[in-house]
Amino acid sequence: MTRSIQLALAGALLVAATAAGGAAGAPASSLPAGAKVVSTIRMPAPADPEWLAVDANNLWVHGPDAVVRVDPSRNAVVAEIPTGPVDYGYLTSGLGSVWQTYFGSRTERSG
Amino acid sequence: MTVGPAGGGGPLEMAAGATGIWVNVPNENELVHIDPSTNAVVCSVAESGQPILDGTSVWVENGNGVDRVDPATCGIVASVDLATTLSGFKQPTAWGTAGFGSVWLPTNLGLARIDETTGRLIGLLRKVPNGDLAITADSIWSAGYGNAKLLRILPEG
Repeated sequence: MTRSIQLALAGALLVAATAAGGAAGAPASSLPAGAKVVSTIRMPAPADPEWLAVDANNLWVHGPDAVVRVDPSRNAVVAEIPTGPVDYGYLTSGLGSVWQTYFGSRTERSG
Repeated sequence: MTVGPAGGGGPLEMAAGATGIWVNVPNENELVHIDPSTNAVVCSVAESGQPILDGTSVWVENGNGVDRVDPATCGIVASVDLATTLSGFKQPTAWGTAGFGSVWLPTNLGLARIDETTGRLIGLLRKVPNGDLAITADSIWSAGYGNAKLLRILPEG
């Protein structure tokens, strides 16, 4: 079998597999990254990061037991505000404060 | 104001921006657009998902990617279907954001970058865990839920 025939058969099989519901779309490896990770900041245990909020000078990170304040200009954790256990502490900022919901109970103001 | 059923269900994610207030109401399977100057519902998108605001348009995460919504009419004007354009894609999370001319969507394959103007998938930063995203002046921040790390990411290209 010549190489051109082999390639034609491979192409036909790929088309058939796609039409039959096989893998579709571009592989992830074929795409450019479009961005790059430049810093990794480890959160103080046990503050596993979940929700984020930003204001003019800070990044605020919700962990299960604390809200962590990160200074983007230093890529560093600069404060920890203990909150006690919070399962779903969605954060937002405004009016000079950071606001956090306590799923099923209350909303708390920090900062 | 009431935008969904009373009780345990109803409004979930919310976003506020130049186009108004957008509230996801899963129980009603709709995204509600509110005018904050009148507290009135302007219109509703006939699908439920987290709203992502880019300044001019509204994007709605729909399980297979995102839909672009005209804020004036709540009509869906474009769709980005990652399920068919990206092999191995399963489902985006509910932590998308917009910035640097792109919509950024955490997926099971990494952080997907979608061009706001063309609606095309233009990047995929692999090995970025699912997590909430935030935008600052020059960076995208990703909360690495489950691995105790916060990632700082710069857009490229």
